[in-house]
Formats: sequence, structure tokens, C-alpha cells
Amino acid sequence: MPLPQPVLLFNDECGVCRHIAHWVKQSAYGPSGGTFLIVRPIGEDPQALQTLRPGLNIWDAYATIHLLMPDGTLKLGGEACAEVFRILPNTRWFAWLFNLGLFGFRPFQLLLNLGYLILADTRPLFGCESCGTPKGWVRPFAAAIKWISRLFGKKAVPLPRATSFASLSKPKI
Amino acid sequence: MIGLKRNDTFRVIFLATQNRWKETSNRCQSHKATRFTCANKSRDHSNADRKNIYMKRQNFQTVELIQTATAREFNNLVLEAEGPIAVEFMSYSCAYCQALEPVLQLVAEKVGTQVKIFRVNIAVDPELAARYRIEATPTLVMFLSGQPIGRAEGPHPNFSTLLAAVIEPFQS
Repeated sequence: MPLPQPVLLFNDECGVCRHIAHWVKQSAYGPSGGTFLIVRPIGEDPQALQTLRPGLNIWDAYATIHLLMPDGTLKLGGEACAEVFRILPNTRWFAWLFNLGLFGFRPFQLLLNLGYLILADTRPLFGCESCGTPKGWVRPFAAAIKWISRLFGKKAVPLPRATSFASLSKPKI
Repeated sequence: MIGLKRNDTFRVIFLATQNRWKETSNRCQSHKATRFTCANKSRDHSNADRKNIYMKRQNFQTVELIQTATAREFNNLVLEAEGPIAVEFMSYSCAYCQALEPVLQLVAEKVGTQVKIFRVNIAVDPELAARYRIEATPTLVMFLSGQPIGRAEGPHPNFSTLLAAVIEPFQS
């Protein structure tokens, strides 16, 4: 079934993603009350995603941002962000930059892809509840933020601690 | 003319085999999408290639080794069933469950029909999580004849530890 509008899937369990999705939702309203874009949480039902787009795996939907287009195509990561910028009335004016080619490259699109990856990796620093343990390269920044927060007497967002996988000899039940 | 065509065909086959794509399935440690690397060139693919491989992988993954058990089916599938059963209490939004999933699929392949593995989504069935005192996801609870006999939890399992965690409670 073709979609009437592009559908942006976001992780509802991640605080950063919720904030961004809220902003996109607010920006997606048109002057006549309609929306340019449907912003939808991924949720917990794999079958619901399958009905939205056959073959769409829920794990993959949580792994990276997905934008389902009405023509049946799928945009991921930085490409999805660029497409959202093209769709939203507030950001449409600068979205042409992402199409700009230079020597066979699209420099602004590459920058956006990089920005997306950095934001995705640093989400735990900004209070993502479901992003797991931050990657190795993020840890020094986390330590720096903690140190700076302590200087100013504030409490930094605690990062999830990585414990090892363990078999418990006795069930807790 | 025929010779030229044959040469072209050989060339196409040669190029196709040379440019075979190798998928490295290092998905989901926390949130990174699957990376695709080329067997010949150490560079990422264009988006079009990536999408094609992505769609192929989607079709490939339709075979489910781990079934989802809801609260309604739990009694029937787990508590009243015979034989060893492992239940993974998880949530799709949990990054650690995402990391566990490919390893658990491998374990499910390895144990085959010896141990049935089910998945319970605690976001959908919180009453089951409360009943079995699930404090963190992913947690594996091993059942035998309806009784929980073992338990394992934690975010970073590897194949051997997970296999041991699934099998050991039934051996003792």
C-alpha cells in the first residue's frame, strides 16, 4: 500500500530522538493545517512495521533513522536527514546544499552523514535511555563533561555501566 | 561476432565475481547500522548498492528461529510445554538486546530442537517481567517442566558464554 506522505520513524525510548522528532513534528505542519511528513515512533510491534513496509526489520529501524518515501524508496541515516530538510518548510531553503556536487562528491551531504554518525554515537551523553554503553571514542568526552559539570557544581547525566554477561547460579524467582 | 559476445559474457562474469560483496554482520552493538564492505575494495558502497544488499538481507531474515511468546501464549508455549525452554526477556528498543540478537540466533541454530528459545517483549507484556522479576534486559530464564531453573543476564555475551548459559542449567 503506497504511503500518502513520507514517514519518519524514530526511537521513542531515546530522549534525544524524542526531542528531535518533536521539533520535526512541529515544523512539519503546513499553513492549511496539513502535515508534510508523518513522524511515527518505531514502537515494539514488528508486524506493524511490516505492514508499513514489507521487509522492514524492527532491529534495523532502531539501529538507524529510517524515512519511508511514498514512492516506496527508503532513506537511511544522513540521507534521511537531508530528505527531511528538503521536506520541511523551515529548512527547505538550505536543503539544496545537500545536492551540490563537487568533483563527484556531495561535500555537504558527507558532512551531514558525519554529523548524523557523531550525534548517533554521542546520544548517551545527552540522556538517551536506550542507547546502551557509549562507544570508546565518546568516553573521553563523557569524562570531560563530567569533570566540567563537577567544576560548576552540576551533576552530569550518568552513563550506563557495562557489566559483563553472567550466568546466575540460582534463579531470583 | 559470436566470439566477441562470448568474450563479453566472460568479462561480465569475471567482473561480477571480482566485485562480489561481502557483508560483515557487525550489526547493533548500540545503534550503528550494518556496515557493508567490499571484498575487493576497502570502501563503503554507494547508497544504491547498500540498499540492494539491505533489501536482500531483509528477505533472508524472514526465517525466525526464535519465536515471540505473548502473555496469552506463555502458559501454553512455556509453562505447559515439555522439554528445555529458554526465554529471552527483551525489548526491541534496548541496545543490549539488539547486540544479543545475532548471538542468540547463532545459539538457536546450534541447539536446534534440543532447547526451544522464545522471546518475551517486556514492553508489551510487563506482567510477565514482573512475575519473573526481570530487572534488566536482556535476561534469559531457562525453564524445565514449567519451572525456572536458571537465569542469565548482562549486556555483552559472546557465543560461548551464551551457549553455556542456555545449556548448563539443563545439564545439572
